[in-house]
Amino acid sequence: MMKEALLYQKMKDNTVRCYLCAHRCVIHDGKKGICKVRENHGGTLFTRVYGHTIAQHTDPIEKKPLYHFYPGSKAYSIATPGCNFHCRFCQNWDISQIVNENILNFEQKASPEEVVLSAKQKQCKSIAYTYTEPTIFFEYSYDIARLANEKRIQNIYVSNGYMTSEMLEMISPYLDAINVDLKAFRDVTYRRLLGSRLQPVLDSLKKIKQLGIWLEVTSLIIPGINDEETEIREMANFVAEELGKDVPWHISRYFPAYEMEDVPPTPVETLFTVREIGRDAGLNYVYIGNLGYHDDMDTKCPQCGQLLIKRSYFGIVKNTIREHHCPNCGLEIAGVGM
Amino acid sequence: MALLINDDCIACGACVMECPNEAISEGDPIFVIDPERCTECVGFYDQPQCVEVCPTEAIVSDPDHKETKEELLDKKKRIHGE
Repeated sequence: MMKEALLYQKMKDNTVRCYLCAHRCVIHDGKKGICKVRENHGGTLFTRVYGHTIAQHTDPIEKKPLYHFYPGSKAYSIATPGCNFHCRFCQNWDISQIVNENILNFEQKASPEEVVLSAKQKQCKSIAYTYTEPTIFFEYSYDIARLANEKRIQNIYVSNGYMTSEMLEMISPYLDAINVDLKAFRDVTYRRLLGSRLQPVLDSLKKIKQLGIWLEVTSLIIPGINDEETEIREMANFVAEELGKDVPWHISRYFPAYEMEDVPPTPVETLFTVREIGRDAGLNYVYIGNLGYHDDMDTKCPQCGQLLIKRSYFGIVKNTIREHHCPNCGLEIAGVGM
Repeated sequence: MALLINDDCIACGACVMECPNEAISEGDPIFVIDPERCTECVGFYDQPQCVEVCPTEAIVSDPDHKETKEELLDKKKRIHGE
């Protein structure tokens, strides 16, 4: 279904400029943006994915990952095809990169009302816009989020953080939490391997905090790409100093994928080193993901060390937090619905 | 031959910093390559760097500026010296 896009301006000669994401694509008549989802027809910009999902699943909120947002709850997770990044190591490239236009024919129709109803029927606390990049299906997620908000269902983005501040301001009344990937701390890596830039992501992260949306950050650590100690230290310091020491930082283990099959999985020792760097930077909640069962998925009180949330792979086993506070020392534990 | 940016260009600017000849500049509304300065990266890299990074494959050979490898190398020398 073609629906007119939001957040674009008309220019001369039927050209438009999209300002949904930080690429701010100039799109000529008959052409598409970098995402291959937004298309200019005669000077009007349309989205090609409104009301069509490529995935609908009920996931534990921990899988997003969001560890400090209604722990133990379920998130109704949806995606459409397309992405504004072209990460050479994308783990979901078959749905994020529109390599073959046919993918747009395999979608399942679902109106915003139907998505909200499904989430309610499956007793999900939240709807997660995930798997691909939610910015790219903004019009769809925006309509769903407004409806969900009326029904007291929370809304979550899992994003690369490349949206514009205009988009963040528009979605912020309805967006309750977001997990943003900080994929590197070098512009050259964003340019060369992801097809984007670093600075807009940093701007979004700061804006998200300003807007009061609950934020968690994920960094996939890739051998030889972003695992150098100075870079990791700068990244951790940015999170701690610019976003706050209570922002959970998820360190994720890389597994070979897509165009980077030749890069080996992240050594476990590297992940432990990164965790230490995160703690040195003063971060209170550093987690390691994609490592299978490990106690680095558990939440401990940053003050007294008491085990607060015991997690198994994607779910919680035990949560002893009492009304946002450590039951042992009384420290307030950051998060929403803790 | 020099390279040309066609209307698949979305003006992301990724190519600008990659060019060793400073041949790419911001036009209205998309980016343009100065054929007097484009050497297709001959003398610097095996592949044109702008083509490598362009996310929409908008950079193609310019049919109006056909040059041999030797001519491109000469151009490089003119721009940068020996």
